[in-house]
Amino acid sequence: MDRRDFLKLAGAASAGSLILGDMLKLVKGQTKPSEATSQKWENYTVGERTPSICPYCAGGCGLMVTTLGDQLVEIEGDPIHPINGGALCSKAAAVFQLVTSDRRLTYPMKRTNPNKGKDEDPMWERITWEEAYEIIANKVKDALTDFPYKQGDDYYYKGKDNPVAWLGSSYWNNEECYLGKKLISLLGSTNVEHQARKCHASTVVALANTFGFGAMTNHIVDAKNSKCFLIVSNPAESHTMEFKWVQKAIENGAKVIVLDPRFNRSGSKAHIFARFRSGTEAALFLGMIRYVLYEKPERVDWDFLENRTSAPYRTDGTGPYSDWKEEASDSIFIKLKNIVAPYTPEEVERIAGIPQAKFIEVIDTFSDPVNNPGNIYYSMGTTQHTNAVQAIRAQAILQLILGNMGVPGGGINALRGISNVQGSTDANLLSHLIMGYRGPPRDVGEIRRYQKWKNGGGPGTSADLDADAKKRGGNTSVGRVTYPWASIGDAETAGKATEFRYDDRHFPTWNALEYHWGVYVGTWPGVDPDNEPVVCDLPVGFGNPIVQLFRAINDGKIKVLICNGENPAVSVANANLVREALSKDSLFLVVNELFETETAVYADILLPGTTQVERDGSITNTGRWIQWRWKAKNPPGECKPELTYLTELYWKIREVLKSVGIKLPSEKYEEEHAGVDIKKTIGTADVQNNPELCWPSRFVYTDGFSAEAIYKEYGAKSIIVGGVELPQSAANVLYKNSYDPTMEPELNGILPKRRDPTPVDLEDAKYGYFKNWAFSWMLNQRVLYNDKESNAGLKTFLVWFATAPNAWLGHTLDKAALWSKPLHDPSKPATNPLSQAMPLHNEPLESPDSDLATQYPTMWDNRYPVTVGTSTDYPYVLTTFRLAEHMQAGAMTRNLPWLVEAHPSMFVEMSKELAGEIGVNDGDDVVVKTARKPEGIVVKALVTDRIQPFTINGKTVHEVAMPWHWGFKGLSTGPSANEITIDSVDVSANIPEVKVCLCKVEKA
Amino acid sequence: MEYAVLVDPAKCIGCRACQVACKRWNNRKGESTTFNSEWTNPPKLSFNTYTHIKFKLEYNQAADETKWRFFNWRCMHCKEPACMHACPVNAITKYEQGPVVVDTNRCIGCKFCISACPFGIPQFDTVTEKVDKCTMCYDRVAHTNEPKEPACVQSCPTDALLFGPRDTILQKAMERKEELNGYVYGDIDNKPLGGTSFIYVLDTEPSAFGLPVVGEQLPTSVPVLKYSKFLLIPAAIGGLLYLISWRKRRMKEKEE
Repeated sequence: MDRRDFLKLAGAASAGSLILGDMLKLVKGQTKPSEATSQKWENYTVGERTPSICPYCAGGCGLMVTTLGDQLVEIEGDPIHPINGGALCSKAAAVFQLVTSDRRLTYPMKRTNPNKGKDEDPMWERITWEEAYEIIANKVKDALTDFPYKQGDDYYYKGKDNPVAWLGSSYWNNEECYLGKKLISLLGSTNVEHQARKCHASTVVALANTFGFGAMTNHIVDAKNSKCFLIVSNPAESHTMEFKWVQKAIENGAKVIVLDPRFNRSGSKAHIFARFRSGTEAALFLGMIRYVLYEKPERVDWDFLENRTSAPYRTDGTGPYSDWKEEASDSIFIKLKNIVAPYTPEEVERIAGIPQAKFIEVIDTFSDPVNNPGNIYYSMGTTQHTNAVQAIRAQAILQLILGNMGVPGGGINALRGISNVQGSTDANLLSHLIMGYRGPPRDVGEIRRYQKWKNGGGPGTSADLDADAKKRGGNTSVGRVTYPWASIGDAETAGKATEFRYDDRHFPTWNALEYHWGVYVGTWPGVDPDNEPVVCDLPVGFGNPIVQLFRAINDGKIKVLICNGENPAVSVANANLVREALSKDSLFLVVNELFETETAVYADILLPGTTQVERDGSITNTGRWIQWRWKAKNPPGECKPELTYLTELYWKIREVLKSVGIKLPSEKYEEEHAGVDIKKTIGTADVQNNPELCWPSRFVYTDGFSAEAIYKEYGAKSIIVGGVELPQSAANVLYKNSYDPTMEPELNGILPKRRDPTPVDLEDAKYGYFKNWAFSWMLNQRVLYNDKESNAGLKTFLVWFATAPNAWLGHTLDKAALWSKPLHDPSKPATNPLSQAMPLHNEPLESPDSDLATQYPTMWDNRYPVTVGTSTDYPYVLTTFRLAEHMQAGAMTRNLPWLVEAHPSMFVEMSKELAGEIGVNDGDDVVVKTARKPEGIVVKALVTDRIQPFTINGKTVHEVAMPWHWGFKGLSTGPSANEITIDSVDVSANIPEVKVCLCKVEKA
Repeated sequence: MEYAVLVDPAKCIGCRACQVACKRWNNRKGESTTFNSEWTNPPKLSFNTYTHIKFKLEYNQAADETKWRFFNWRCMHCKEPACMHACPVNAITKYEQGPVVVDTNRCIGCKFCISACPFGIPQFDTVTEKVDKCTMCYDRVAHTNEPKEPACVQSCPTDALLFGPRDTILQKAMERKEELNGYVYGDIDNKPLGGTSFIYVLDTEPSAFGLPVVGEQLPTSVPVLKYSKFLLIPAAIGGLLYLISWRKRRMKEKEE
């Protein structure tokens, strides 16, 4: 008898005994037990709990991690978290599998196959972290060896020409993003980008130029206060927990309107659903503004327009005019009225394909006072277009007209994609910003002016020039030249109001960076700023935005790319070009990741990162809540926490560079000028003479090396240095006061650590601000521009863009801008919104209708040519979308079996009509072709009623839609949608137009 | 105390958090699935999939109206579970709080429960040759003090799944029934097998969601299944005797 037989017999025997027991029960009667347990339950009840924040979307849901030592027991929704109250979406529910995945990278590796490509095996060889740093540092050294630190007599690096580039990451904590930005800036490069460019770059431009801040105005929980939702996004899938609060509002009687090219899971809960053709958002919203102004003027919030917007002013900044509603006043309001006049329901239908009756139903519902306050949700569907800035501006203006701004339940709510994309944007991992949403010095002229400011006088100064100069590290000698304008009025007289405003915003930030980063910015010795040599350690000039960055790599201009937690081989428009760039011999690619991603396949060095529950740090959600993550367990293998990686990498690079004389420009200046010691003090702290003191943070030597120390540098309320309070002590002004050593001493003054869900007052209780929970920028304001919010710091609009000679809108900056001076370029043709400084509709670069393309010509950055197809060759509109079960470029979900099983393969959705026309059945393989990839990609056809043909300009136009999560690595592989999307970018934000292009679909 | 879960598909957004949370708490493997146009995936319940969301798209061409129904599906946890009554080895337990649980250690893989269940819930695994199904997270729920809601319920963002004392849930079901002008399935309007611990409130007839018509009483055929096991007694005794003799032989062999 073998073992199997034995087992069977044993089974039969035990069955026999059970039967006997059962016979007994028959006699005694059944009882129901009431206590149960399991190993999991036992571990769960005794395990240690650590709060964290979900790494997937930007909702900011709380996770509660249970561990037994380093054994992970459970990751569930944080039961007391105000946003999710224990609930999670499918992705967040799978974080457990993300952390425990045996597919994670666990040690550093180097490539041994010199050939790079999608199908090339990198032939990884395991190395140590020290070896990896050594190799990277030497590659950086090689790249920088001939990179000039001197331009004429001036000492500085040209940021854009720097051959070292940095990517990522929105999956990182704020402290890590900040250090990454610091690292690449100290190497003199502004070639730094990350996910934010591709998702909400247009939001920042549009909203900042309308309201003051380029962010979601309200917050996640605030949806519960809404009476009506106008959703041009898909929160049920892309920001699932937002829908928790939409659902709450529905239960309180709110109406939901969903507008989307295809019916989606959000649409399933809509009271009104309407389709529109991708790329026509501006026309839709301009049409809505027109409807309200012309058909329902009684619904306009006239008081709001008069008191809180630029409507009663003229475009020259004069006003307010009492007759601003009259044609003769030539007011901005009248200008808006004229701009929107052509967008009648007929015209909107002609452009967007939305039936007039449906369109009227939508805006009539949304504008109805019984449905106020109304809330607009949007995300990638609006932002990823060449005219996205205009479309978002139109949405913003609609909300101003209806008085839906600055109120709970209202607002224009940009739903941001990745867990910390708001924070990584705030950390300015972008090529045109240095920190605090301020640009780097653009030219030596600015630096000379800055030196004068440091020397005394100018914006934000006291009357005491010497005190100012001391604070700022300026020159206090008698013969110094100081800042030329004492006040804005003074600058206006000199015709320099523009510069004054610019300086007012930038100089304190550069000054804070001098102090926090141990760098020098100015002229030397600072007595005669107009004629002395400039010495600037901050990189000068803007770098390459994402699409151009890969072109620069293709041109051999970028030699080292350090890519962290970002997967451009899948996520960037026209990914073929990206993959070609990544394959270049001239590029040395470092990738830091959790998994071997599509981008990692091209890497020379591949480093193992850690998951978000394995480290401390803060993250900022889409509603601007800065929340803290606590480390719950150690990472596996040799995975290195990102702060450690950044610090060790920087030290090694600095050591190797110094050994061959590559240093900061100020150090080079000293080297070449015997006896010169650019030993500047700010307060009395020696900074520039010892930049090492400032890495990773000025706080390190008192607090040890930690996320907390870096956070203090980032969000300090104030620091007294040498008895003088610095003019701006926070490295990032938005986070100012979020570190306040006088508050919450048990949290070391780090306010994002607060976990108290109790309201501060009745108003908080009513609206669900949760002001005791974490911190919200700015100054803990929960609803931006809400002038009725208690205990808040920032209540007014803050459109500080004073570019008109007369200081735009007088000297008060508290009006929302219907007409936006920074988005004004009178040299453009009248069909270009920039000529109007107000939104207009413009067709996508690939338009399916030639009449519309002529009438509404595309506004795009044609300095960067792209391959464009015609509607004859490519007759169908293609858009992309996201699924609840997958995340962005897919590495964090396509490696998890629990999520892969739900959506195992790439597909394209099409209408039954189109499928009929091209002879395709549901489930068939089809080829989707565009001008970028005429051979196309092969995917499954999903023939569905979710998509219906449009009638555009009287003709039938088909649209197809595909998710963009797939790539060639992971448990579930498939072609990437971005292999065929278009890489045209908009003029204001450089965002790629991945949401709309033309395609052809055929049976494979 | 008896507990229940209200399933409210009208509030469900089909995010599948329940599906994943279930796998996490119960340590179930992800399955190897293929493209499913309907999106229901895994397409069927299995030994590794205790619960899933069924997707159902309806389109009214004339009105251009789309309805997309999402429907959480798993064991109903009946008051008089047919599976339990059919199980010849008492591997299935009904807990006081509501859960109906298969003890896989006791299960002999006879599949009687599968034929008995009117909802098609218990699933046979060819690898382990055992049957398993949703446990209503009995290890969280079956406590006399402070039960913890099932993992699926905890994860649901929109309260499409709601856990509570049965009375409270029935009250809630009545309210929602009124709001939706609909049906309650599991109790009130329809009490399959004496009433279930998962109770649906629906905005249309249960058949639209594929819910079967199930009587309130346990069909007489079910106990017949259960007691058919007595036919096994001689085989069991025979097996026992054989085992004893086999063991004796082994001992003897060892001694030698």
